[in-house]
Amino acid sequence: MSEGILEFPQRPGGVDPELVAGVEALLFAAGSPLAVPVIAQALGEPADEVRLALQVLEQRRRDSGVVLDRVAGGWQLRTAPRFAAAVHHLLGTRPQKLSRSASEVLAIVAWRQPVTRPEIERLRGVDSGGVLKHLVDRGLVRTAGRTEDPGRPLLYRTTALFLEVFGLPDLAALPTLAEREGMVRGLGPTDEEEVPPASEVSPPEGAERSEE
Amino acid sequence: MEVGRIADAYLEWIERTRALDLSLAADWLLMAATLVHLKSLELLPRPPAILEEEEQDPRDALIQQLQEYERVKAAADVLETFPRVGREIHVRPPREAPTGPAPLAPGDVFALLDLFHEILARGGPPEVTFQADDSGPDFGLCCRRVLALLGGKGGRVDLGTILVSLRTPAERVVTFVGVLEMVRLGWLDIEQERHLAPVSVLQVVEDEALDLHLLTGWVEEGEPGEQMTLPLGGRSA
Repeated sequence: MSEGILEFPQRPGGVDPELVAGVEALLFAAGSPLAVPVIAQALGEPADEVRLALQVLEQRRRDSGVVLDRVAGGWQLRTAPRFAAAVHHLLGTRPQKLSRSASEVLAIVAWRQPVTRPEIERLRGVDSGGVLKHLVDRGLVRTAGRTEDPGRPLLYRTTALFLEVFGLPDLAALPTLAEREGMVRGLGPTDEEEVPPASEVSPPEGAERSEE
Repeated sequence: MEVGRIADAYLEWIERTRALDLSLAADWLLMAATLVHLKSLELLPRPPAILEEEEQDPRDALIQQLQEYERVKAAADVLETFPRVGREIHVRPPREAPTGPAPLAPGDVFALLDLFHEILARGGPPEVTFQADDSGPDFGLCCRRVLALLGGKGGRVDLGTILVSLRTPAERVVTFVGVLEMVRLGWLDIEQERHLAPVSVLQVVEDEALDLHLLTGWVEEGEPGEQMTLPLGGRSA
């Protein structure tokens, strides 16, 4: 792949290589996902230019060891999965696992949010309080108000960290379980504040859209 | 009563919970109980009045729940297929410029249990020093000994060293429980430099903040607690 082509992807005028480099520096320094407006403000460049720079960077890094991904409403530099074993070895860590019960509760919250604990327990048929608390402690799930039902149970939602950990740009990127009609109910970000830097939303062409 | 034997059984049980997925076992237990219940409904004759009340076949509810649970499991499987940060993917944690020695990792509970087990195993049989009025090691005294070794806020001592220095297994057990209790009260912290490193105890509050009555209230109900009102100045191991 020739870098020259990537630097100027069919755009009249192309993208300033220095802007691409600047975007990369910010992403590296931040570590966490950065939304386009945040990058644009830090560099003092128009958001549209930043978006083009991100596309260039995404393409250029595609086959490298650190790739650029859209996650949690922003962009983040992440290691390529194929080096997971080596990185774990280097850091002396082990792949973090979720218990089966944690996976199930997380799945219910992810696809049905906002959802109450009684609803989760009805679906699983067992007490899920401990697992839920564990997920809240790990920052994958958070409370989001209460229902008006008797006892006013708390509602639970997934967090921005959930999107980051599972590599999802937003909740709409969760695959629809079409054939499993029961789970589809309550799918997707139905209201307000889920996707944190709310500006950057799903599909790839979103990168072409302008911020308000 | 042999404390050691109780502790052994307890530790063995904890060891087993580590290996077992308890929540999974609970799932199965509930399912088994439900099935037995349904079976009993079929086998035992019931007055017609009750039969009429239960219009819905309880089996339908069970089947529906099982179907919904299947969907949940399928969704969990889908979730498991995503490459995850911490599993397949790593991200760079933003780091601030170092300002001092690296913080120690908080101790983990299994390291504590391992240590406890090891200490108990190390001690020989208890010495035969029983007297008619020997009521065993004094909880407050054991706690104060640890505090004396720590010597004030910021003091740090290796927990294994403390425990090994004690004469009888009973004292070790009581001291260990005392340390846990003081951690619970927020007086002490338990730390490890890294995974599997020795467990150390750290005093996190000033001596003035230590209310020894909190310890007495825990064990010596009914006692006037005279021994426990000793000021910390009287520390001597």
